[in-house]
Amino acid sequence: MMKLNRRSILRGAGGIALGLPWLEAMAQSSISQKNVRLAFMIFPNGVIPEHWKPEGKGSNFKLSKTLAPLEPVKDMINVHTGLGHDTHCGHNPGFANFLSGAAVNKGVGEFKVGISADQVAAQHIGKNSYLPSLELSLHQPASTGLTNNGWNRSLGGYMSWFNEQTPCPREIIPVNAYTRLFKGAKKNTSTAAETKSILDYVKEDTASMKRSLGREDLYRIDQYFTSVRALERRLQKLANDNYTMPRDAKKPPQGIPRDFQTHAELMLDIITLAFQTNRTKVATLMFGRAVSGQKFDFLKGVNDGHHSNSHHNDNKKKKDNVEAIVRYHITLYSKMLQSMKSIKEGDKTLLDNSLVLIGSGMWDGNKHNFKEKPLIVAGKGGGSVKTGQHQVHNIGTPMNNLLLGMLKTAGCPMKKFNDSRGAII
Amino acid sequence: MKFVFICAWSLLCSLQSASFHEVLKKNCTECHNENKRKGDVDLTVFKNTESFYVHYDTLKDFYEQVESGEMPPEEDSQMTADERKYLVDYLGSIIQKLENTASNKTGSTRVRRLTAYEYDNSVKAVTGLDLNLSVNFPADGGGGEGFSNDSAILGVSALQFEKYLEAAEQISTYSSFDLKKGFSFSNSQNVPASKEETVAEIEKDIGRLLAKLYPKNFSIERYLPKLMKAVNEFNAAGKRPEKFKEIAKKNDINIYFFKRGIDYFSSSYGKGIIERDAIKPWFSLKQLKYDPKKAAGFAKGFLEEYKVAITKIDTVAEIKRKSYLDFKNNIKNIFTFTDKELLTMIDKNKINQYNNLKMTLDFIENGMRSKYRGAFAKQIMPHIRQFLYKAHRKPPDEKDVLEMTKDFITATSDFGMSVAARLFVIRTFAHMRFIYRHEKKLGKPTKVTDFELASRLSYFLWSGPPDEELLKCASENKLRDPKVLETQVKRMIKNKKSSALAKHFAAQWLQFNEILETEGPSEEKFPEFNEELAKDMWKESAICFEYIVKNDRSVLEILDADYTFLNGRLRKHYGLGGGSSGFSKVNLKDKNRGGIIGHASILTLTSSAMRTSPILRGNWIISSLLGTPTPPAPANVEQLPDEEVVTAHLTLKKQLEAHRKSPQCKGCHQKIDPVGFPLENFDVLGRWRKKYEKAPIDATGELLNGKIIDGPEGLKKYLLKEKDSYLKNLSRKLLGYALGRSVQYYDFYVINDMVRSAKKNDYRFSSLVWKIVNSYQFQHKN
Repeated sequence: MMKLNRRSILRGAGGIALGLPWLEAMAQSSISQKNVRLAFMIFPNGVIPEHWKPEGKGSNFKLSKTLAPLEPVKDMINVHTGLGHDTHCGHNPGFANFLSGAAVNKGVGEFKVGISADQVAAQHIGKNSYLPSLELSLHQPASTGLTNNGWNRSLGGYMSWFNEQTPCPREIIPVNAYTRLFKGAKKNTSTAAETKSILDYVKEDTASMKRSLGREDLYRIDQYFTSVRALERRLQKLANDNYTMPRDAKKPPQGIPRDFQTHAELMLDIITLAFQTNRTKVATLMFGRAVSGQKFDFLKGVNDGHHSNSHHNDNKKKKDNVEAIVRYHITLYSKMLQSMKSIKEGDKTLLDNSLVLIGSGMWDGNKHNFKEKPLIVAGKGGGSVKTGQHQVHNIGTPMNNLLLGMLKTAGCPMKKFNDSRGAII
Repeated sequence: MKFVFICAWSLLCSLQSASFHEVLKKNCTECHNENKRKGDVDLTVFKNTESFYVHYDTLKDFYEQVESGEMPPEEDSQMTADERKYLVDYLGSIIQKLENTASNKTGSTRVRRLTAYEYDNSVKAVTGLDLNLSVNFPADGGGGEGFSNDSAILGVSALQFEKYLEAAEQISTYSSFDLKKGFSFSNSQNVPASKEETVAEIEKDIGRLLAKLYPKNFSIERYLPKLMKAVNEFNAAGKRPEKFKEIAKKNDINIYFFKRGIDYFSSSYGKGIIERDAIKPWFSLKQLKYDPKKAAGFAKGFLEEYKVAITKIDTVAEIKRKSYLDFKNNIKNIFTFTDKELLTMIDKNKINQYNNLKMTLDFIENGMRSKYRGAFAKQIMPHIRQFLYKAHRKPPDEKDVLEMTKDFITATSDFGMSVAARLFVIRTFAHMRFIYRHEKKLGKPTKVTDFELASRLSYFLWSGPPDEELLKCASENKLRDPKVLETQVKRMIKNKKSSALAKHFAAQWLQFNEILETEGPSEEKFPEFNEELAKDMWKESAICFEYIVKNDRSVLEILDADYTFLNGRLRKHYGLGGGSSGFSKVNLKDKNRGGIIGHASILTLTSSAMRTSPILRGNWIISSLLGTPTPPAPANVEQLPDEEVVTAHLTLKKQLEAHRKSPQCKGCHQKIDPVGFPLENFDVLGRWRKKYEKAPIDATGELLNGKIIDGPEGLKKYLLKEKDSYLKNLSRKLLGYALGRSVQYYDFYVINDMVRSAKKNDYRFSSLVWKIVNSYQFQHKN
């Protein structure tokens, strides 16, 4: 009843019918002051620095060749130059610690990486959402084996870390991500009561496993328990949640789209939609795994895989190829920002209420230098962030300053994030 | 004995360690300390006896570097010949002892979930269906010795659990449950039966049981009017279900027959013309408000018609005869007895069956109100036990059986039996005992049980659960009998499921899996490389390995063989003609081709995009094949040109030789380059070539000792000479794969044992497996 009233009031007052999702958000915002959505996106193999770095600094700067597609949203972005991590982060470890700067262990066996910024956000601002966080990728992690430098190749498949040992697996099939967001995990015939029984059973069974496992295995049981509880919570929320889908929302087709472009656009749409409907506040997307050899032959004149191009040895053709590939990613990013900007949330837009980071683990892919990373953050984080700037930092300034800035802006109660020395936003 | 040895040894260590540490301090730890870690090596870790065990790999490396004279580097070498000799002897003796000491250590293997492919195989073993559900799972990473089955990394996340649950629901839609046959699976999905359908099904079963009782001299005059009277009373009572039993009882009619009677006398469906005419007046009773007197009259009339019909059967024409016959059979099916009569008529051995069905029906209809809960439990319990046995890959815990039976009963009462059965199937596939490879831990090293051993064997050799035969051996406690064990291992190796070793062990060990996910050679330069060709390349390597495994051939055939397996496309690719389009064994005359180093898969994935890479190839040989990797290249080394740019006088080889002069590069490239260059006759895609675009090929490599390796054939001879390293590496990898963890210092005893055994047994694959299977590690849990 309330909802109907409010909608008619809004209609009457502004003459414009607001989408219901925003109403839900309003209902929530009365609970928590902030409703900032955070997205973190990474693309592999670095950039061509001279084409990436904008001219000028502060609000007086000119978009570079690679960043030109951001013109329509220039006033909504901050380009950050000079930030990096102090730990080793070549191709594979650079993905694993992109959002933490944690030291990554070499060799095989158990992983050791730190919890990533998105998972910190999931624990704080995500805990009351239907999905605490959404992890998407366009590639599966590489199967196995070590690189020539002794890194576990699987590392390059994970940018989100639940804790030191546990990477968050990533969804690569758009329709699965969509279904997970909007229909819950259930799509078969079981009713709510039946599902409840199943979850009760699984909990019962997991508890009974404790009897027969060693102490060192108990954490595996805890992991299982945690997973069951997470689903249980989500299903409860599913029952209480009455979000409304925007009319133009479409369910993605089955399977993995064969072409990169469709795949990438679907994933970006899903993130936008998830934010718009407030199904999650935290999302990460990997445009590819580390050392990706993705072919971009649909871009004019670009042949060969991404990674082999990135080792350009100053070969002009290859540098142009990399530049075109990175610019293409920036185009996708820009389209997403524009679409977020067109979605109204009260007197603001979805983009006003978000912080969307895009970057790469390394600066020049040819040199594998990683002390400095190409980074852009878009959105006003609820209104407090001054955008439209090229922020040039001293080299050696921790990227964690920026991650801390994003986390704080979104409402995470923290003073420090790993080696951060103050917050940047 | 062991105690004495350790004491003596630690004495030896402590006596000499003073000078050991002096030599170390003087020559090594200036660079290789905790802080500098030059080349990622820290030699200050060697502090006591135990540390040599723990840092076994570093120790080995240390020994080899000093022994070969590569360390300390020439430019700052001050090590005297005496010091070197002392260090070599000292380290050598420690390694000798380490590697030849059997230690009763199991290593820490955490309880681990199934890998994606193990999951699919395990589902198949229970259901018989190839559902391939793991395509929706997040991909497994790699760990341990480089395999995805490493216990350290196989945990479950929230997303993973959701996928398991979804998959379990999927599986359940292919299942059905039957009180007689238990759980079964079929290829088509189905909807669970409703309570009513289940009731009808059970009634049909009762009917089938009773139908056989039809007595020869059945008196239709006695039973039919009685039944029709009761049916009319039921109709008169408004056909209310709650009146049904009361009326049956009052008329002393068995309820199943009564039900059939009601069904028969309520419609003309399924009745022939004669029959329909006979029953027609009966239907007019509704208008007559079911007057019992009228009903008795109609019953009499109906009976007369019936009698006429059956007497005429043999005298009428064919068409009418059929109609009469139907009439007869239909009536036959609605006869009725009292309960008492029934019990005297049923066969003794059928009485139980009959009673069971009756009690089940009562439970299904009345749920928890029924007094036959126990009887129902008794019927489903064996099915639950049997299903769990399959899913748990061992006899289930009776506590679990009891618990699940109880839950099954409650769920039947709540949702009906069919749904209850589904929930049970889902629960079973979402259970840690299915998803994890569970071994009961006792807090100290213990022998694994026979069933646990069966699972260890089957997940090692088949990447799937034990089959019936293996489980039978385990249930009879025979698996520890060496003869039985040997028979089983041999059988398993021969079985087609052992192809899992090629798909999952060899493909990860030799890395040919990467051919399916590599970005591949330059599309522009090598348009002939495509997904299809990559798959064929993968297959050649997999089939060759599978062939060695299944036929228990010499593992040296991986290094050199006079055969391979090719299909039409690859034959053409290699420049060989003839043959069919499918894969078949090809005997090779060309001595350069056979063996893994001649496989297009390896040759392609160790090439750069535009040109071959003797460094990548050499590195693959010394790391993946021989297991003697060099340390990683320092950062910011100069890159070689991407293409085969052959300037007037500087071939790739010359350029490499130049950089080999640099002391920074020399150490490793002296090992890498000589085994990489002999493969230069194979181009980026592994095709034979005689020259580069503009220059002749020099496919020779010069070893540190000055010996020359010439071409692939020469390289194979060299590799066969180095077979000890190869065998040791293969053994290490196979052991790590079998145990699902990285190899520890105490495992080298087993590895050395494997190598010895292989040498004694014509290098047969099974000789390696046999040593693993009999090792302390494989037979014990921690």
